[in-house]
Amino acid sequence: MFSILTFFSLLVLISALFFHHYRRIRNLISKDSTDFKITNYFFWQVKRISGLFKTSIKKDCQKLLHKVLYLRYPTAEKWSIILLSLSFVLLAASGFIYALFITQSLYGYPLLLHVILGGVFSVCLSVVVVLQAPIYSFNKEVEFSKDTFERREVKKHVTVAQKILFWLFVIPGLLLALTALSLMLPVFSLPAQLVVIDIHRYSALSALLSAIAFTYFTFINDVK
Amino acid sequence: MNYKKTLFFLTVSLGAVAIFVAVAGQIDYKWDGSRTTPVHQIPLKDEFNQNIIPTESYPLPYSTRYTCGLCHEYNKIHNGLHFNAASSDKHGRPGEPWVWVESKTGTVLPLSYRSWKGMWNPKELGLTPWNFTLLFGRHMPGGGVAEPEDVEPNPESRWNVSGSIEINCMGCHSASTKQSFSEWAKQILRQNFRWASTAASGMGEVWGMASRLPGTWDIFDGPNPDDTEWAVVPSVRYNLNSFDSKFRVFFDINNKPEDSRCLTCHSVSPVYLNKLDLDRDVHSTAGINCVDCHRNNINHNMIRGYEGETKESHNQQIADFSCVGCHTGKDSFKGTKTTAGRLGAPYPKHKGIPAVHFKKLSCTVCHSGPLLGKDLTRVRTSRANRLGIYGRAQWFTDFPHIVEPVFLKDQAGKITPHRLMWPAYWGRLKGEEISPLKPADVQAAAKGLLDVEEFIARILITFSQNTEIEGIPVLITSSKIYQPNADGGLDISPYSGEMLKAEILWAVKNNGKTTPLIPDFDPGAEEMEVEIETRIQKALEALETFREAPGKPALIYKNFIYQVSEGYLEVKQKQGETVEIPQWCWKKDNKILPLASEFQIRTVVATVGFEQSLTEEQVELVLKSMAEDTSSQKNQENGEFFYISSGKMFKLNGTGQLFASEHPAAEPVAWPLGHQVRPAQQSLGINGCTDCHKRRSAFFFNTVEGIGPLKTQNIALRSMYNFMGKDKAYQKLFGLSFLIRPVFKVILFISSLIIGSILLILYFKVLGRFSGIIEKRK
Repeated sequence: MFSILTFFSLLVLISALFFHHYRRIRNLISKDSTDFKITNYFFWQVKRISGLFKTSIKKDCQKLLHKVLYLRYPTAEKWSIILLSLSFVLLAASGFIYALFITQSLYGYPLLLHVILGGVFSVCLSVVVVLQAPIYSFNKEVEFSKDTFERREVKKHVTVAQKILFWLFVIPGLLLALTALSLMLPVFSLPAQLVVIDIHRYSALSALLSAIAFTYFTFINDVK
Repeated sequence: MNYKKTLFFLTVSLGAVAIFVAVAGQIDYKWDGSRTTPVHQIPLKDEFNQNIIPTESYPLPYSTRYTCGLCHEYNKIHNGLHFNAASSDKHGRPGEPWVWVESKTGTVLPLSYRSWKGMWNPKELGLTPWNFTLLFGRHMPGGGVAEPEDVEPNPESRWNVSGSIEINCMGCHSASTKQSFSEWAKQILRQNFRWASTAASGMGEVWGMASRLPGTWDIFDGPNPDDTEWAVVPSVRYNLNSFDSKFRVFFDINNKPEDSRCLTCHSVSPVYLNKLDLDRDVHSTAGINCVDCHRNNINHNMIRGYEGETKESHNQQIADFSCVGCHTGKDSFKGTKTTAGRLGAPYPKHKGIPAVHFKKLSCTVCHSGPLLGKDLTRVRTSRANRLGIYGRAQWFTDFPHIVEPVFLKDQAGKITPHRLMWPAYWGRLKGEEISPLKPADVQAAAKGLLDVEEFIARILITFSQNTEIEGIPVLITSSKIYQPNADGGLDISPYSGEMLKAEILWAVKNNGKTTPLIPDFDPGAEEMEVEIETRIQKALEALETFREAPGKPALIYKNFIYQVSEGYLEVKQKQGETVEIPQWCWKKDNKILPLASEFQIRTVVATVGFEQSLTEEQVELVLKSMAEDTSSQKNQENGEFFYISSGKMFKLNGTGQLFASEHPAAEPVAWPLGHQVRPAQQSLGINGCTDCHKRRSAFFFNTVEGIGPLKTQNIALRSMYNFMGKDKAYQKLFGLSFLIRPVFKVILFISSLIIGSILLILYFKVLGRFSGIIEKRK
């Protein structure tokens, strides 16, 4: 069930983001939004996907790394974000690979890694939430000045979608930390634990979907 | 063609009558719903289905086939779990093997008719049902291989003399305290197979021994009035008080056998535990009997109660009686539903135990067997170590050396506690093929090399025939006194007397004092003291009766040699070195041989008083002897001979020296344990994760040593993680991670608190905005 739901939700999300991106580019090129053809969209999709293989992966990685490292934040905050991202990627990789492709639950060194990274993730998430909460709070003044935090004055525009996605990432993040903690305490009986494990899994899935969407709206959709 | 029709009609009629008779002979009584057990006041029937009249002369023993079989279908019962080992193709989860223990040859061989890993099928070893019954009948319930269809006389067996062992119904179902297992074992040992049930039930006394009767005797021959001393034909003297006026007997029956009946053959107890410290299984303490879970109907296919039995037997009802089925209401982790809580089984909450444990471990890992300590617990089991037979003789054996709990993966891939033993046997290796040798064949090939203890004991017993000696002849060497015992072996005790002038002293023990067999005397004196002369002469005369004497007995002292010749003590001058202490010896072809060779003394010192009965030197010599026999037969295709013990295979190398190597055939044999179940307070993990997950936990890092009858430094060592197929480094690292786990929990808690607080603030802010409170305040 979880596997099907994971595959299905990822497919839907990626397709939706692809479509959103297509529409956005088309809107930038031509103002006529009614001029939509499914064949054009299909060819565009093929072109984009094949483009992924044509461009150098090394270059793409360097570009992404540069983008991430050039985050417009103070050092502590920047490293918190980097560590949060890294730990989340590794946690998701270890967790989802076992959940989707290996019949057994996490065991061995991946389990140890998962547990340790879980701690790193929860610490980084709490730091990021404390520091970034003002940016992603639902205040009316969407233009947020960073000069109180940083030597350089940077102005950032945060969309409502990004705000919602940020909090949609934080809420499952909290659930992930809480479920991990509760599984370590002699609190729940076996049936209750199975429910907690399911909560952990679905929280991880929600966090993953939010993270993908957030990354899209922050990095890819940001291209002018 | 009328005769053809008549013939056809007759055939059909006869067939119908035969079927009717067969069906009528076995009445299948169906349960009427009453929960009571009927009083069993019934006539006894013998093996010819004739009523037994106890007052008759030479009444036969009762037959369960006809006495009990009148109401209970004997043939259905005959296929039950306890009787079908050799006939069934359903073997199920491995169980305890029958262990063939023969201490002289150091044989500890696990056998089973069921094809279970590491156990030898008796047929492969050339053991006939007769041999098997003689070896293990003591703990068999009758039926099965002990009741063969062919009981015709043949050189391989004596079924015609002993009779077959019918199923001993009362062995399990008797509620009488007269039911004696020891009597059963005694009768089996005497080959009184058909009389064993009657004797064990206490219904009558059985006299005579079938083992002493000639192989041609059978039951129709009746008693032999000419021999009332030795080869006495077994007979029953029924207790007439048990019979009523119609010669019916009251059977004190328990429909559901009591635990003590099961424990006769299924007892397992730690070796180093006092009886008063032994606790019962938690289920027994709660008033549950063995058969409350291990149930059966008339087919006697008992529920074994392990996880996965349902799948094998395709009987969903069985699932109710596994640990998981009864306690949780599911037949496995996330499995189908069962009837939970039968017999009042409590539901286990298992709070805080990660779910993965229920997938990978069987319930018994935490709940069964002895408490996990630094060392494994050595246990004795009824069948393997011959427990529960009481009498003058000591029946139990030290071997097999069984330890528990050893954690291994079972056939379903779950880690399960096992009992484990290391096999030991002699055999022949031909390519990859292993053929164990029977102990009798090994003894024949060893030519006395394995009889050392008995050899010395026989010498001492021979000395005791010397009427001049007051006391028990003993051998003193290596600060130990060796004295013959009733079993034909030697008992050992420490020597604390004066310093010995010689390393080996043949002496006499009297009232706790030991003195040399021959007191000090002057051999050069013109006239020898009469007392000493008589003593020497009597001792030499006694030694002359020694059957295995390699030569003529003699005593040498200084430059003199004393021998008995034509009834007189003859003293001669001896050539060569002066002997300072009187020495007993054998003279053969002008050669002087010691009374017991250095090899024999070395072996006795190394083995008597120890569990191990063989030395490496003995093994080397026996292997050489076997190899010589083979080469003398010019039969090079026989392969190499070996001895397996302590988890190693011992063979001779090119230069004829003994060397040890690993071999799959030397691997230990294990079978899962179910009981005894400990209370929840004593379960593994009750003190937290570190019961198992710590750097040097017994669960992962206990070591199992290969222990066998051979005294050697070459032993196999296996750690628990080896058995479980786990990675040592990972388990150590994982164990270490529990040191920082409390810190980890605090970090997670603080992080969750911070994120939760901010989310709460956000929630209230959003709520305020939606409700308009914030706008109003502005």
